[in-house]
Amino acid sequence: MSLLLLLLVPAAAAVLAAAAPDARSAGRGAVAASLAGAAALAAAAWPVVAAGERWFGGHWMLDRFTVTMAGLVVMVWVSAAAASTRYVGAEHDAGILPLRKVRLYYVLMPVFVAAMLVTLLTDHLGVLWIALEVTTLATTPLVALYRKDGAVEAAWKYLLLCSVGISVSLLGLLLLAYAGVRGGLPLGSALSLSALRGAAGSLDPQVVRWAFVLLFVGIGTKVGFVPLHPWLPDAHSRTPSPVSAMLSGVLLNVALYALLRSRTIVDLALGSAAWTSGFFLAFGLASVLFAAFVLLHQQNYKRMLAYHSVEHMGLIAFGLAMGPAGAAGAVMHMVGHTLAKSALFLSAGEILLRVHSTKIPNVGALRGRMPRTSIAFLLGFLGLIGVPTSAIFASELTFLMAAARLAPAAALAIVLALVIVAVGVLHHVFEMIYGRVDAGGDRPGATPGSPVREAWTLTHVVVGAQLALLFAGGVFFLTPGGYAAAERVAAAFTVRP
Amino acid sequence: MRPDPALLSSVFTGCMLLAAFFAIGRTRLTTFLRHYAASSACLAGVILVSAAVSGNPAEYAGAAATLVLKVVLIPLGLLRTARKLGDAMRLTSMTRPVLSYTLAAASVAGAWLLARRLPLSAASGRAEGGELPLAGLLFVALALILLGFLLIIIRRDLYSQIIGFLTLENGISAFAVVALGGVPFLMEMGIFAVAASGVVLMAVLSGQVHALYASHDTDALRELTD
Repeated sequence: MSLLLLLLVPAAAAVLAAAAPDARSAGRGAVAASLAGAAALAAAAWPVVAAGERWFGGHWMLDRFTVTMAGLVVMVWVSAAAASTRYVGAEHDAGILPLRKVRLYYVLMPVFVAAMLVTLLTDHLGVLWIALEVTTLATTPLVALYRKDGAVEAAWKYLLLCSVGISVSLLGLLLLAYAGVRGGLPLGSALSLSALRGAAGSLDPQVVRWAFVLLFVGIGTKVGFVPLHPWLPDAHSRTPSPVSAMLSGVLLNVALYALLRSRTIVDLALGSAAWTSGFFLAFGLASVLFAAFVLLHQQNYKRMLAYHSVEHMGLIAFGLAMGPAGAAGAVMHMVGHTLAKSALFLSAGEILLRVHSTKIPNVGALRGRMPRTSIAFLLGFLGLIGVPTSAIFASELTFLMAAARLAPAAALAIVLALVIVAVGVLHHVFEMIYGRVDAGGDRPGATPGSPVREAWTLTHVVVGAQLALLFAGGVFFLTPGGYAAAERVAAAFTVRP
Repeated sequence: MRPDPALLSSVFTGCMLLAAFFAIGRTRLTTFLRHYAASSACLAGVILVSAAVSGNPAEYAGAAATLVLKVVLIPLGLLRTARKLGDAMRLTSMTRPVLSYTLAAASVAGAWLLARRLPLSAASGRAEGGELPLAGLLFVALALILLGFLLIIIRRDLYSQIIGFLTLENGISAFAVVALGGVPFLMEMGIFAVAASGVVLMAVLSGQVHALYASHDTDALRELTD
């Protein structure tokens, strides 16, 4: 019941936004809807969290992993909706976004959220595939929203590459279902994730291997693994910042979730996670190393954040290749990355509203001009590069310790890449915050009459809460109870040898 | 006399590949779309024969949807978009026709090798699979997928890339017939709805590209690089 409510809330929000009389009320409606969605999720998830059980109902499935991911989606939904009232409101007032586009924005946001929630909650391969493709379709108009400065180009690449990727993954899903049918399941059950999981022992390993390769390449495109990533920095940097926060903060996790659900079936069919781990290790390493070098010379702060997503998806993949302990680390990393990245994209939105440029050399002296945002931005980056007690520190510690035993050379490469990233990123961030800016302070074209001192906005409140969670999360994960919690979530998709 | 389903299916399968193959060298939008429509019509035929053999109503619906959407609506819609925008009807390719056909032949050969390696042709998922030449259909499905990829890579205009994506989609539909004898009705319709929305969005975006750059060439889309 509450599950149905969880999907009805975004639907209602989309309908209401289409008829919103002005930008303010559309924004308020979006915040109210996201809060209602959070309440519905809490009601649906409570029995699962309390009893630690796995729940099936018709075509739906809920376990600890689902609840964790859905919790992140809803958390970012609430944050992005709150930040949108400020961001979209300001762009509307400045005449950049007419009411028609504001409505489109607030209609597509809940559709996007609903598609992500369906991807997480469904037990049906077909529904999962359709929902994952709907996430692309719903966000393409948001990427193209500004219709200038490469926004349309970014949207084209995004739509074409992700659609092709998702199509390839459909081949994988069909093969998985085929393996199920050949293993004795009726067609209806062969399309059910839980039925396939139950019957994994009877699946033909050869077919299942092919299915995984296609799924990995297809869904991996949407996760943004190198070399399947070219759409990601464009799409994530061209869209309005609250949407960037959702795309980067949660959509990548949702795609990874879909991949992990099918990986579990493959691992069970093969009897161990060793074969699939090879893919995660290779693509994870490639993503981290590639992103590290691009980050060194990146001159656009939104693209810099986007490449960080490539790097962090690589790190999570690396963790997923490092056995059960690595998987627990990967769960911590997903949580930490979502918090840090959404906080950073929302802060980047504040900077963009003030400076009107995404080029790092055009930004400077933020410390004096935007003291609150600059502190949030700096803290967010410190959290992102894994400074204690960030949740990302806890996760990196966890999977690197596992990797030191399992793959020492790869662990060393990752540590080196992390150092390169930290150096590159801190250089850019210090330039933005403490660097010099030309006389006058604000760029030409800054909103006339914008106050010299920065005012508190709703975005600061949201970002502050996310950063608090990020740094408290690290402490929690380093306690025995916190580690055990991450392990229990990871157990939902980990196959022990 | 009742036609032999195996023979009919083989004919449709072969024609589907031929139409897609010879689209590679076509550079007039109308001819190019005609090839796509012909290939899709053959796909509808394959699905129809499969439906007649299995008696699965979802497959009849799939054949009908393929006919309406991929043979009529999508080609006409793309043609209308191009006419409305006043786009040149000549498409641009990065490769000359001889090289294009060579690459296409290599793709088809690759599909043939892949089809022999895929552990799928031996026994189909459905009981009555023996009646249809599914090994050939698997080969053609993979060939269409690779030809779709090839179109996306070698063509420089947005319409060809859309058709490349759709050719790939046709290959996947054919693959679904081989692997599962078609998917359940609702899933089939969901996939159609999603694919159609994707193409509509692509057409809208190509309109926006045209408005911004006065061209449908992907060379205009070179702003975002690192």
